[in-house]
Amino acid sequence: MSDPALRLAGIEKRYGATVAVDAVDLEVREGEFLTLLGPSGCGKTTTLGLIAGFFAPSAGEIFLKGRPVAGLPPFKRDIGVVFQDYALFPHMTAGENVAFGLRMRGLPKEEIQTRVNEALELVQLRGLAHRRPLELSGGQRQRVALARALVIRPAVLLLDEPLSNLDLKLREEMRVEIAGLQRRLGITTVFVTHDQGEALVMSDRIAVMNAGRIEQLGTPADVYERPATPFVAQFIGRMNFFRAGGKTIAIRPERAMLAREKPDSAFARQATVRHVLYLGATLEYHLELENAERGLVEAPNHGGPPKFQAGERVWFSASPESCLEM
Amino acid sequence: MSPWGALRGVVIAVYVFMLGPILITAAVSFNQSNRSQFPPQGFSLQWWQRAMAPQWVDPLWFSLKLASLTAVLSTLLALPLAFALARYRFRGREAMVALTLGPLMLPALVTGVGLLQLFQYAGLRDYIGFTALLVGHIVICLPFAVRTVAISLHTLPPNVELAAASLGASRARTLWHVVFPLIKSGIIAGAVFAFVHSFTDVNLSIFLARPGEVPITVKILGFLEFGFAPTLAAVSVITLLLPLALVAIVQRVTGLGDFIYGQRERV
Repeated sequence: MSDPALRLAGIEKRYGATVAVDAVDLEVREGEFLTLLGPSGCGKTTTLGLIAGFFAPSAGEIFLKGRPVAGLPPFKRDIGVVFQDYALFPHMTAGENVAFGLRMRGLPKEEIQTRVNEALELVQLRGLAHRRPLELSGGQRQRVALARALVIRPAVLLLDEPLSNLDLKLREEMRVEIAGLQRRLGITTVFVTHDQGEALVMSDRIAVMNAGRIEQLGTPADVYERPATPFVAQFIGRMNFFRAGGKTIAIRPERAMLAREKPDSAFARQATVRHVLYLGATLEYHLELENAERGLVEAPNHGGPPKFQAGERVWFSASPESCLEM
Repeated sequence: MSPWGALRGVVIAVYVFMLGPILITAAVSFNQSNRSQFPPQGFSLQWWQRAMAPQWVDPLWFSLKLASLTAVLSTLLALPLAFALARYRFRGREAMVALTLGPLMLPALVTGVGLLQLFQYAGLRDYIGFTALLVGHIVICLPFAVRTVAISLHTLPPNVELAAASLGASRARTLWHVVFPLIKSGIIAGAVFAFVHSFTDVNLSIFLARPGEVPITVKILGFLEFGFAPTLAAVSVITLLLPLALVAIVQRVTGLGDFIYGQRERV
């Protein structure tokens, strides 16, 4: 089998006594969209910086298409980076920004021109090549940044929370657009985000990070349906945790059911409805269980008044396949 | 009085006290007689003619050379200094900050006396004059240049250098293609400040000049011992207009007014 596009082998980054990235092993396949997902301070951005070469690892090696690169500066690595703040060159036009990487590679003028035009077309910015970053909207700047990173056809594309500065509507559009573009170009991509929604929608695989380590690596369905650790379970989506005979049972709020009569289920607890939240597409029932445990049930909104009212005594239950043992 | 009325009053007072002396000096230089009267009596260009004599033109020319060289050299020194101070944390950094910016707090007079003694005791007596003046002016102008360059380094958008590196630019090419163009206005502003500060300095220059190597400010001061004459008025106006003209030209050519007078919006 050929080498993976990117491989991290025992990568570590320490700052004094603090360990930012702790012995991370990771393989990213050719053409794959892999997301590093985790809360702030989990080491995901540091990992991205290590791949890009912005700083050197304290230990471990990084292989780009089989070539060890941990000792190389970023400009010798063949990577493209899109930054959270885009980091466009304010003194250059959009076209000059996109052309920069090609100029540094010493390509002939005509080829640069052709490729810049193609790249701008790819991100639907044709005709804005002469604009400076200040004259572009946030979404347009983001597209320029993307074109600038893609035009050099890097071995790996690195995206550092590129959507977090956009407003909600645009963010949701760009999710689909970037993921679509990535698949069309087949470019190996490492995406860093703290937004589980982005991660689930865009990724082939997700590496959930916590405290400098990868807690779980798997497809979006893997990490959501079969979280390996309590951290993954509560970080991606929402989760009910219950103690049951020395074990912890985890149940997703949308898989749980409510009933007035005691159901014939593997897992059933009596509870009191404390709040009913109306969210439009769904309703949320916030419950209090016997031993002061809390429960959450998310039910689709079929119209009409909520089935259960605050203060009502109900039964909380879930099918055996919805109960995850942690 | 309304707050706006009060503000207007303050602005008017500022202009009167700023421009008044200049206008009066200029007016005096056109007096007919050899008396510094205001309002001027009659009209004559004879004092302006006298101001063009080598006695005045030479020190003016000397000051221009000194200020230009000071501006260039202190800016060249300021670039690596500002980079080191703005970017790196190293042992002795605080001392370097104090040494670089110190002359800003010291009266230039003290620096001047000190330099004079240094040159004398170090056996560099022969260098008193242009060389000593150049050294002294670089010392007192460096803080201005370092500060403006450091400030413009701090206003660089955070990740542009990393972005350039990721796009294949070496450290040197990143500096050349990205950093310098973005701090260009700071560099030029620093040079302008250094030029003006050098050109207008008298406190330090008075100790380090020697006959034949005298800046215009020292020359004017020396001449004042004999009283204020209309010739001096004419010379003063020229001395005043030269740096103003330079700032105006630089501003015109580079569009840097907003940097010299305040920050502009950045991406």
